[in-house]
Amino acid sequence: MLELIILAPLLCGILAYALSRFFGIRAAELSALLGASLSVAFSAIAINGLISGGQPLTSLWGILYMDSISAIFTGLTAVVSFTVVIYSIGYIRKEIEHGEVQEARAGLYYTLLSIFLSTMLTASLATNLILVWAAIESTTLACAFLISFYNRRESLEAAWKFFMINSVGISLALVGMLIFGVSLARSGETVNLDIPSMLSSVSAVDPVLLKIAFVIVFVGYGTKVGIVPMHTWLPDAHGQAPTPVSALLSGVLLNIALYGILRIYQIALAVEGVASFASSILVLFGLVSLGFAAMRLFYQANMKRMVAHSSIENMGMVVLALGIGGPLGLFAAFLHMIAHSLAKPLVFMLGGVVSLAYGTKDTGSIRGVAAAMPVFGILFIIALLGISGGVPFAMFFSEIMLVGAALSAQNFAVAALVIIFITIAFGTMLYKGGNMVFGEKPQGMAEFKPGAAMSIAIALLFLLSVYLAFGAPAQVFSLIESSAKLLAKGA
Amino acid sequence: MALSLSTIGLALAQILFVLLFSPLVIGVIRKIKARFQARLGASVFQPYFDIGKLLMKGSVKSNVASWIFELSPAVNFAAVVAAAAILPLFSGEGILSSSNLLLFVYLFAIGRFFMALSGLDAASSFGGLGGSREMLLSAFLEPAMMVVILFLAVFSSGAMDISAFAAHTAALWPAVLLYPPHLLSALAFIILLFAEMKRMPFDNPATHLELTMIHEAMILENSGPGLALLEWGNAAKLVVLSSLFGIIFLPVSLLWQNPLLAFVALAGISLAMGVLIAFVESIIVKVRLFRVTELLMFAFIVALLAFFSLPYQTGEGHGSVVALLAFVMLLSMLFFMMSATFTRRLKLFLINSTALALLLFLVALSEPGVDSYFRLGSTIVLKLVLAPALLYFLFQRISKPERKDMVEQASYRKEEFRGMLAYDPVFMTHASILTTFTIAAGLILLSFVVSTAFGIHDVMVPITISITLIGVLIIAIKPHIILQLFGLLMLENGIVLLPVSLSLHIPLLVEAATLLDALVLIAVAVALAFKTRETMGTLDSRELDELSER
Repeated sequence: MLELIILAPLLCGILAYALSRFFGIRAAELSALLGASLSVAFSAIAINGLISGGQPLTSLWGILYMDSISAIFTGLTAVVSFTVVIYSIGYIRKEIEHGEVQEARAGLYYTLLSIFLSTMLTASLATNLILVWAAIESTTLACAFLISFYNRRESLEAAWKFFMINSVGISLALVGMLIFGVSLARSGETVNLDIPSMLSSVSAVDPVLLKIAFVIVFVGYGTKVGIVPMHTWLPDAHGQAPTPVSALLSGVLLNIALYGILRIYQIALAVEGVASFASSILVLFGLVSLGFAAMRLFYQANMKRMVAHSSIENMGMVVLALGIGGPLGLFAAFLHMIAHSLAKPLVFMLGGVVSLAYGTKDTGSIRGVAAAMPVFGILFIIALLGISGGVPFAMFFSEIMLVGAALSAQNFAVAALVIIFITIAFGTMLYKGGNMVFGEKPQGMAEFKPGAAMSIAIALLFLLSVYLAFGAPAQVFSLIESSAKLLAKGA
Repeated sequence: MALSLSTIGLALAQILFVLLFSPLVIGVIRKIKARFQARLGASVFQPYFDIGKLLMKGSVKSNVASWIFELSPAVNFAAVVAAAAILPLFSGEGILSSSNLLLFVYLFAIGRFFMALSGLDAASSFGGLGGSREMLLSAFLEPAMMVVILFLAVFSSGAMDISAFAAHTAALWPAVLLYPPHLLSALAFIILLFAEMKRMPFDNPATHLELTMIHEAMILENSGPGLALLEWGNAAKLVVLSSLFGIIFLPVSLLWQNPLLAFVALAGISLAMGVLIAFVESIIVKVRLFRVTELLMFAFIVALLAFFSLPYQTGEGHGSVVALLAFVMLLSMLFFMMSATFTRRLKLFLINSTALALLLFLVALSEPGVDSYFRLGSTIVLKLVLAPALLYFLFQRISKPERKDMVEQASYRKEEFRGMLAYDPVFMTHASILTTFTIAAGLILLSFVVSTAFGIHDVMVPITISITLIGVLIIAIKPHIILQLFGLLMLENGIVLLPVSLSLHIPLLVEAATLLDALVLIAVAVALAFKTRETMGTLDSRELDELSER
């Protein structure tokens, strides 16, 4: 079952390239869409099986594994990618119309997108942590080419920056993993980094080595998550990639890298003496990321770079919530992550529509979106405020929970800082978003019709975001709760 | 130890050996160099005649020179003779109760001090130049020598006594021949010997070019007997240092029961050192004066590495060869930062990968298993064949002027290099080599400190961490994508090494996954590089600066 989740987009992606050669771009679109929807369907079946069975699933001779933590990541990846593929259909057609992309290369785009999706799903489903690592690294393959898809100077620079910084980061992560392996097994034994057996051998862990391993892994994967001192690639990559790819990077890739950290954090929490050390590292870096990104938000002239900084801010918040811990903190972390993954692609998609309509990404020269495109304009401002903690999205609740968790952990300074940073971020978004959305629309602006595909994707994500906040099914919350429990087992 | 007749006799014999034998070594060096240059060359005994001739001549002295100028050759000569007298060369018993190695360093320092003064004293501009250059060199040479001495002191767990060093080396013979720290400090010692002797690549003794000369500049004003003493003293210094090398790093002290055999051995070692010098001088060129300090810094790091790895286990037989190969990998990366042409960098990368492959081969021999063979095979295919071939291919495809920058650094003088953190066109780095080496030394220290702090006893672990960190350093300082890729690949080599150093057994599946990743890495890098070249026409990453936030 689990292997089908991965194989569907992979095979359909390869098929997309072949089909685009013979039947043109329509066939490639359909094939990619088929792959993404199949992976949504299969993961829904698998998650349903997990919830009803209550036991982790394994598959493919134990290579693949799904507990509630991986279920959250897998489901989220599949759903968000599905909407991104829908959006891509509209977006890439527009880009072909504008002459930014040659039609012959569009097939390649869908292939890369599907491979990217499949590698991320592999990361969230692999049993062995080294395999998780390998999958996270191989996301680089498709991702580097997706970022540089326009073949412009800037996009190539962004791709190089992404490639170099992340390759170093991911190499460090492997170093950390291997040290982690040593902390589990005495020398001479075969290292077993399978998640289930790892969890059962917690008692034999060497705490000192685990501390080193955790720091190195955190720095390594943290690079890909966009934790602040290692975040430099992130605004560039998000700013230069085609909009659907930016959506995917922000909504999914950052989570997948966080998943790598999470699995080690899970062990760290179960070991006495390491738990508080690991938590305080997460709190520190989460706070730094949150604060730094909130401050930098104002200075971003490029709309996509601005949204990218908001991703750093939100990931910082997730990391912070994980670090604060406790049932409330962990619940807030997962909820915030899910809400962010749904809302951030939405913002990118809306931003993509806006920049296609205005022909620029400069926040200073976009004016009167609400007047030009009433529906998209209103959605845009709602989404922009939503990703900074505005009401109709679940981030509002998760941020309140985060502050609550900090307060209940007697961590008043952190709570105060979080409130300050959130306020700064929200204010900036309100100011910049308001400037873009309200006011007179420019004279003589051509009418812009986003088309069905883009509209459907946007509607889908918006509804999902609101649904998560106000009417999500109990299954989602039970998944989050059991994940938080899994994570905090030892703590 | 009392001054007995026999010890005085031995001391006299040592002085005679050093003084009478040393011109021959110089003669041999000159003969070999002449043959390399397709000349017949003078007889090997020519230096004797030269010294004799000079001693019989009168001397001329500048009318502003003081007594220092007249005294300096004698002081220099006396320092070397004193060193020869108190060294335990032919027997464990010298005329001093303890022959402290520091004493030798400072005996030579006295000579150097007077030489620099006398260079100034003659009031010729060259003398002052030479003196200041000499002092610049010694500022880098002496700390490195100090680290070597510290290593020896800790290694033989005694004082700074040369006899103790010798006894320790002899006691561990021949296992010490494979002991990596011992070999590293021997390497550092030889580099320092070249610097102390003012041989190429530090200084060219055969030229009087004012731009480069160091030693020759100081003695330019000397003539007659003074010059003879200087030349002779310098020749004697070579024999003293070579003999010191022989007793400290080679087991000559095993022959101390029979002074005659020890004499033969030391004479042989001195001649061998002469031959080595002649070969080195014939195949390499002198480096620019400002680069001399970098080479000494390299020796310093090598000595530091030896010192740091002392408390660690390096394994025996097999294991020590493995450790040695890991050190070779690290040193090749340090050299990489110092090298200026693409071909040399490619060669150093190949050395790095070959060392890794050999290391994995040894590991596979001792721990046969599918995963060992798989790791070895994939390393050979990827790192020794595929990656270098692709990088070479990439290099062939970049534009001609850019290629020229990477091949003929001399032609690239447009931006003169200034300061610690500016672009250096010769080595194509963002930081000077000295700065880089200082950072590298810091990183190496860090990896050793961390390993010690966490109770790791195998030297492979800190070395592997150093390799990884220095790979990151190379990526950070190099402004060209091809060079950054070299750094990335060497970093990867370190990571391949890590499971071996931690003696981890990894399942084959995981092994395959990491192999896949290396492939992905190389493929993405090369494909992206080609795309970049098509779009931008260059792979110089300084051109990629559109997105920097200012």
